[in-house]
Amino acid sequence: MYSDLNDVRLMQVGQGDWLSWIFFIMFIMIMQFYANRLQAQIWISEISRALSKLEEYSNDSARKFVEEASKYGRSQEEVKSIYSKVKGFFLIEPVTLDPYGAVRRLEHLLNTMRDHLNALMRDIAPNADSWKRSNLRDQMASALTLDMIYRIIRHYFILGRKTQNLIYIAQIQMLLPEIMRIAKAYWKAGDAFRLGVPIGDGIGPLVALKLMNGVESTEIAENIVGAEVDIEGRRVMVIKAKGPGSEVGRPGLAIERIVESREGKVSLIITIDAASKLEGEPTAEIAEGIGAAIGDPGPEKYKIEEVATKYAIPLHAIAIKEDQLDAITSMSEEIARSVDEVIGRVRATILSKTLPGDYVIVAGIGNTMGIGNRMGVHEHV
Amino acid sequence: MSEEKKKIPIGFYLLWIASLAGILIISVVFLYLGFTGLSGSNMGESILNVVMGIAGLGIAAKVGYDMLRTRTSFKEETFEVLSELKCENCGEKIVRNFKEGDFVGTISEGDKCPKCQQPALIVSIYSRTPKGKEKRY
Repeated sequence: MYSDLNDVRLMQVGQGDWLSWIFFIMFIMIMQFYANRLQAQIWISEISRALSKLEEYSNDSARKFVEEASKYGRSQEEVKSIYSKVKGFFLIEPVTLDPYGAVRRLEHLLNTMRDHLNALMRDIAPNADSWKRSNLRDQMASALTLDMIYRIIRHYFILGRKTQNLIYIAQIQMLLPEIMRIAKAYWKAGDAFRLGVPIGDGIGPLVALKLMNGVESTEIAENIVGAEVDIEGRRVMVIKAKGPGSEVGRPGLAIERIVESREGKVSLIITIDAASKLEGEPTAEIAEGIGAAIGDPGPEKYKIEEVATKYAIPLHAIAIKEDQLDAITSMSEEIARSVDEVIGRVRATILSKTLPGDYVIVAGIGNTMGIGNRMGVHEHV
Repeated sequence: MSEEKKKIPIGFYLLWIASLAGILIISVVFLYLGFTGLSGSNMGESILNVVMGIAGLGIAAKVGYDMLRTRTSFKEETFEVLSELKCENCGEKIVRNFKEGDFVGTISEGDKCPKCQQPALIVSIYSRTPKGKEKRY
């Protein structure tokens, strides 16, 4: 009995093994003074590796763009020289301190930017057709985005190392998986634009094309085509961006023109677009709602809402859920397979909300790369 | 600037390896003390030593894994882009690899229906990731 109690006492005071105590105290001291520093160094090493990968992505995208663009009338050196001048290209958003006319000013800036980039592409690839030029423009845009991501991460990384500020380093390290996911998506997007493969954002135009079927389409607004089809006695004007180049066009302007040309005699406007899914939601899930389903910076959506409000036209929206990154990379099989179901929803909505003889607008919103303007065409464009 | 970001001091890796070795040695010592003491009278302290030794090995494994993770490169995802064609005459479906110039809605003159030899219409273009090749960061 006495012996047992003595053992417990010895264990409690730690006299049994002084070596263990020395190790333990040393360990605690090291951890006390160097744990944060060690952790910071581990994180810095991880960020450094990621930064190297970001640089690879950025350089690879730029190299592929230069190689591709140089096939259309300029040498690689010339294209490289122009590209290096475009690096860091930016758009300054209009001042919203006084919000009056902000949308109109933003629209003007976006038009100017589009014209500027198109002129630049004519300079870089003078022998390319309009289809290839628009693909090249967006391929360049993805390379520029990667360059910007790389610069921003490098900025915080160097700042963190200079100041040894654990907050800077921890913030990047924790965001690293998401940053790398986005960067990889832009890197893959460059390949999609180079080849002209439909991207996830193209589900709206794909649905519109299938609805148009073989009907000849005409240009309604800048890079927007439309065809009138009959659905159960309703006259349905289906519009989409003009393909198969990488274009989103100006669907807001097109809808405004159609409605104004009919003096508001439109019974329903349906917009179909890809929408960001929440984590856990299945890809290609279809959701319906009210409003204008369009993810533009503002002006096009504003035009749709404005003209619909002016003539009290109901706005119905159909969204195809997908990961934000699926939207900019080649269209996945499950998204492509959802087309028939979306068409079914469009038909059901038209039948339930309109009467025979009514006029309906269906707009397939999104990038139409790799998607033509009519089913069954033989020609190149 | 890009050179600056790549400069990870060699001392950092030496410190890392030294830490790993130190933790391993301490863990082994604890385990040795623990297991040799189990047969003795001081059972409680021996169990404590074994627990500390196992915990130390766990920490060493984590440190080693972190070091390896930073050294290994990111794996890239492989995927294939396919064009799906449909014969306008008999409705036969053909799936083949995407070719530059393909777009949805065009009749591919180069692809004839295996059944009736009529040109086929491209009805869909999509990408597919082979099973088990999905990318993990």
